[in-house]
Amino acid sequence: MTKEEQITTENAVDRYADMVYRLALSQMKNRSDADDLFQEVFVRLVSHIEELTSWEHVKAWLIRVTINCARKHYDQYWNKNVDYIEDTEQFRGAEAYEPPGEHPVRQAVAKLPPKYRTVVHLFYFEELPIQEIAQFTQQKESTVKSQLHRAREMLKGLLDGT
Amino acid sequence: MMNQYQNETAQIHAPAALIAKTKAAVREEEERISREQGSQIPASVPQVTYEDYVSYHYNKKHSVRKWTYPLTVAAAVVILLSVSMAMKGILPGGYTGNGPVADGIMEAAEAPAAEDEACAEEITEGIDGGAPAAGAVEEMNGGESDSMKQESTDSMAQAEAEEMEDSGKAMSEAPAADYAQEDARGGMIKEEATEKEAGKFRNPHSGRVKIEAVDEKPDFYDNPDAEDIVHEGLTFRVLRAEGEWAAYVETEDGTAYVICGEVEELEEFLEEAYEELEKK
Repeated sequence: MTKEEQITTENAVDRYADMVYRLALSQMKNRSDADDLFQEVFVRLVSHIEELTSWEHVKAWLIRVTINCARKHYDQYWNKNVDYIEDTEQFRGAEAYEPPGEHPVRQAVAKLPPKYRTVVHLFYFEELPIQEIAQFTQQKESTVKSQLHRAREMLKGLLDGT
Repeated sequence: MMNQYQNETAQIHAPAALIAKTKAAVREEEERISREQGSQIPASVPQVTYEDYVSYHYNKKHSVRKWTYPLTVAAAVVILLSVSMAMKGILPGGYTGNGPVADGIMEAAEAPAAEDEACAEEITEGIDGGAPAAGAVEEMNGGESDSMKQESTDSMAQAEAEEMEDSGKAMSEAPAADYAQEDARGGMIKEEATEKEAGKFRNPHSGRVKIEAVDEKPDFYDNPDAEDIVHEGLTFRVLRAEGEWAAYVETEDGTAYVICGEVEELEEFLEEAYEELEKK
C-alpha cells in the first residue's frame, strides 16, 4: 500500500474533496456555509478514520456525515429563518447555491426542496443505488423512489417553464 | 437532462485554498487528539473517582473487621446450643428445676418466707414468753412478800421498786433468749428440710422388711390365723402377730423365704416383700 493509498484524513481530503464539496453545495444556501460544512466533515473524520477499513467505507461515511450535518444546519432556527443579505440575489428562499454561468439543470435542481436535491444529486451524479441512498438518508427505498419521481416531475416543470 | 446535470456538476471543484485550509484544520485536530491521548497516559495512573471516594469513606465509617463475622456466627451458635440444651434438660441447672442452680434459686426464694415465719414465731413466742416472765416476777414478788411480811411499808415500797427493776431486766433479757431459741429452732428446721430433701431420694420402704431364706416351714405356717395371699404370682402365707407381718413364700426356683416387717397395711407389706424377693 503506497502512501497515497493509506487511509488517512489528508488522503481522504485529496480523494473526496470534490465529492464532499459538490454535495455540500447542493445542500447549503451559500458558498460560505458549504465551505464550513466541508471543513466540519473532514475534521470529524479525523476521530473516525481508524474505524474505517476501506476507501468505500470512507466514501460512505463522508456522504452520510455531510447529509446529516447539512440537516442539522437546516434544523437550527437561525438558519431556517434568516437569509444573508449579500446572497439574496443568488439565493431564493431555501434554494441551494447556484454557481454562476449557464447551468440550467443545476439551477433547476437548486430550486428543488432539500430532500429532493439530496436524492437527485446522489442518484444522478454520484450514481449511487437507491438502496444506499435510502441508508444514507435514513428513509425507505420506496420513499427514495417516490422522491426521485417527484423530483423529476418538478425539474421537468421547472425546465419547461424556463 | 440528467447527463447535463452531471456535466454541469462535474465542473465544480473544491477550491484549493479550502482544501489547504481543511488540511491544516485536520492536522490541528490530529495533534489535538494525539495530545489528549498523550495526556491520557499519565492520566491512566489510578485516579480517585467519586465512587472510590464514597466507598473509601463508607468503609472508613462502617469499618468491620474480617474476623467479626465468624466470631458473631460462632457466638450465635454457642448461644443457640446452650439454649437448646437447657430446654432439653441436658445442662445441669436448666429449666427442669432439678439442678443445683434451680435449687439455689428455690432456696433463695424460700429463705425470706422461712425468715418471715421465724419472725412471726418470734413475736408470738415473745408474747407467750412474756407471761411466764411476768409470772416468775409475781412468784418472786410473792416469795419476797412472804419472807418480808414482818417488814414495814417502806421496805415494801422498796421491794416494789426492786421488783420493777427485776421485771425490767427480765423483759430485756427475754428477747435474747428468744433469739437463741430461734437460732436453735431454725437449725432444726433446716435439718428437717435437709432430711426431707434427702428422703425424696431414699427408698421409704427400705429396712422395714427383713427377708431370710429358710429350709423348713416356719411355725406360723400352720397357724390357723395364717392365710394364703397371691401377690405377683407368688403365694404368700401371711400372718399378723404383735403388730408385725410375717410371711412365708416359696419362689419358682424352690427357695423358701420368711419375710417379716412392721408395716401397717398388708398390701404394702406384700409389695415390699416382693421387692426384697426380686433383689434376691
